[in-house]
Amino acid sequence: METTDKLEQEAQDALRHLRQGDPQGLARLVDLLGPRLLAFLQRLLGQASDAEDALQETFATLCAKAGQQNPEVGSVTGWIYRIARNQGLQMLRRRQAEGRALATPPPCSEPADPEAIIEQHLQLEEIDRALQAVPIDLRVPFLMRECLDLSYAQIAHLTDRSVNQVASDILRARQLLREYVRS
Amino acid sequence: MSDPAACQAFRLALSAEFDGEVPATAGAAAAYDPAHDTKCPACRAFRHDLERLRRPLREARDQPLPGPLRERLRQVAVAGPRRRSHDSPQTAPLDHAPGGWLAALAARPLLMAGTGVGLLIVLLFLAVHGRSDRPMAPASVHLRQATLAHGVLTIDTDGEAILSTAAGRSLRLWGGPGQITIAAFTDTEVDLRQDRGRLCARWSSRSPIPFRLQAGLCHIEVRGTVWRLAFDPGNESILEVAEGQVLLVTPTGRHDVPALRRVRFSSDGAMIASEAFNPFADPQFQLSPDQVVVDH
Repeated sequence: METTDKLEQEAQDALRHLRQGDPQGLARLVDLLGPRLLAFLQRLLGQASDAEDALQETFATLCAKAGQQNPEVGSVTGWIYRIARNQGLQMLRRRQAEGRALATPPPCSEPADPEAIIEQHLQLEEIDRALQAVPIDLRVPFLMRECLDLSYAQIAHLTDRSVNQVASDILRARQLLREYVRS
Repeated sequence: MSDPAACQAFRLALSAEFDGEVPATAGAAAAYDPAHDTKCPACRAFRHDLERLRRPLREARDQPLPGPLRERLRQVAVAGPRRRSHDSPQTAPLDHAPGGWLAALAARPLLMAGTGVGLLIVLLFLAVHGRSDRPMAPASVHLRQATLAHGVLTIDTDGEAILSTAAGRSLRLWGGPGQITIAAFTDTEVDLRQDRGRLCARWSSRSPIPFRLQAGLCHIEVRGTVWRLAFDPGNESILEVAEGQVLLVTPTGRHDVPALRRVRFSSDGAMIASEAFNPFADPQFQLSPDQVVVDH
């Protein structure tokens, strides 16, 4: 929690600089949040180029709306994460509309051995592919936890669901991901 | 074989514990037996796999941004924040916006979000006097079944080109075959000439900028974000609007073309026909009804 608070404090400070017209403000936000946002968008979208575009749109939107964000009302990092989530979902819809949805692995045809474990060294690409088969409603909270390191309460706030629902959705995402990876 | 309900309760609690959370409800806490997996091989395997799945995700999260991407993002910062702290949200100008109407639109995020894609102006000039011949290339170009050489972009039938400015504004062109010449593509000036063929265009970014498109004898002003121009210098040309509104100014007069209309005009600018256009039936557009927004 201390780390999260420090991150929030630094993000608030950087945003203040940005609102005062200092370009270094955004540069600091890029360094602070860019890596985890890219990881989040990459896992969400399953494609590096789309993730980079969505990340760029996230920061462009952040610039455009910096003056509207009031740190006293809500968390700066939460606001930025919400922008990134929306950009990611928008990219998914656009991709769907343009007919370039990614191929997703087929659902498991038969249940894998429940006692078998994932033995091999997992490649990130395998996880990315498998993640695309996890329904978006489950994928988003799961990735907010794994990539953005948000608490269940923060995820609940950002995704408008209860903490219990978040816990259940994350578990379901993990179970599905595990099945897809194993299959 | 363990009781499925016990396994589910265990996994729910394990997943939460794995995330540093406590079981959300007293009921869940009571149902949680931490020693469950000593008796249940399936849940033991589940615990093992949770760790296996997390490791690559965490490693990726801790990777620094690739250098070129980091620079690209920081260039958005160099372009400057679009709103200053002393500006009210209703009056703040966009640094790049040449007209108050664009700033006014940008200050209405709901409208921007409602249209989903923003506002595009295309100016088609009768002559190109005063244009710079100095090529100002896009900051980045993504091509698929398309070529770009000496500023001439050629797009095949199934090809596409995504041209991006330094600050990340991207224009997607597809729906060929067609050819355009890029005279300039920067955050302050986009100047294109459609040489032949047919192309669709759409800004991918939320902050599109005005740009000019030269294609023969007509002056076209387009408000909207999805349009297609089939330009044949010696014959009939076709302008189709899927989103937004188009003002077509030809030597014969001014013609408003709303979304879902198609107009045909001759190379000398004479109007030939105006008819309904259904982008939903057109595989090149792949629009859903909620994507079509007429922006007056």
